[in-house]
Amino acid sequence: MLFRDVNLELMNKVLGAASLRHKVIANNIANVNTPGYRSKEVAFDKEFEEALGNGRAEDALRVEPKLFSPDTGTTRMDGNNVDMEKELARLQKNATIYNVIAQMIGKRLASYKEAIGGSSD
Amino acid sequence: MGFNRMFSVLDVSSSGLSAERTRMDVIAGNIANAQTTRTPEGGPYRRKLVVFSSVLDEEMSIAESGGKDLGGVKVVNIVPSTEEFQRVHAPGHPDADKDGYVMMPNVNTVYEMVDMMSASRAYQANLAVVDTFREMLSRTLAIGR
Repeated sequence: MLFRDVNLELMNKVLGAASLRHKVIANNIANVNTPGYRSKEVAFDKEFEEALGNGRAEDALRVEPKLFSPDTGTTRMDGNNVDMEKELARLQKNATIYNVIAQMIGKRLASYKEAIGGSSD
Repeated sequence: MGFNRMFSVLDVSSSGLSAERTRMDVIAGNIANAQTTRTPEGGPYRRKLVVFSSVLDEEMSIAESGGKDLGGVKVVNIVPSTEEFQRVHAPGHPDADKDGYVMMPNVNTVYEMVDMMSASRAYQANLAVVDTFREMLSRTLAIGR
């Protein structure tokens, strides 16, 4: 390998998790009227941040996003516990994170390009 | 994740859109037939209900643990409601019995209107996911610029 950029790998990791989370939210919203469906979430941020906070980037890179169904109750007769407002809010939040990280990756790659070739255009 | 998997969010959301639209079609049929006293099966029109079921995504890679559960939704069945028909007193009606009562469909238009609003909002929510995905995708493509 010519060179290794751990920050870029970390950003890729976050982007991958955000991408999976987007699909999970899409699935929750698609199943808002499915009787008995339990809403799903992605567990990633906490473990990832803990590893990063301890300065262990290699550990953070090994964190895999996991799916789980939070044990929230429901007031609905059909046993479905999808909260539409919550899902839409999480959708916006996740998309913002995704967009910011994608932009950061782009900027980083552009700076490499500039370093190699002179112009980033 | 293969290239096609990149767009799997669209598959999930479009399954939601299509399921909600099917529900809307069924509701439209129920409302249109709220006064129908004759059907090919005989008797008044029976209210129809859609049955939704979540779907497994068989192509999802194992690396994304549990990701197989994310296959969206589908309409598995459209079933007639077992609610009682309404018995209405209308002696002049051609389908009235000897006491002047007519069996009317078990459609309650108020329920149908509420269901219709629920279907319409769920449809909009699925569209919102598609819109957000489109923006995310354009940001992803911008990485290469």
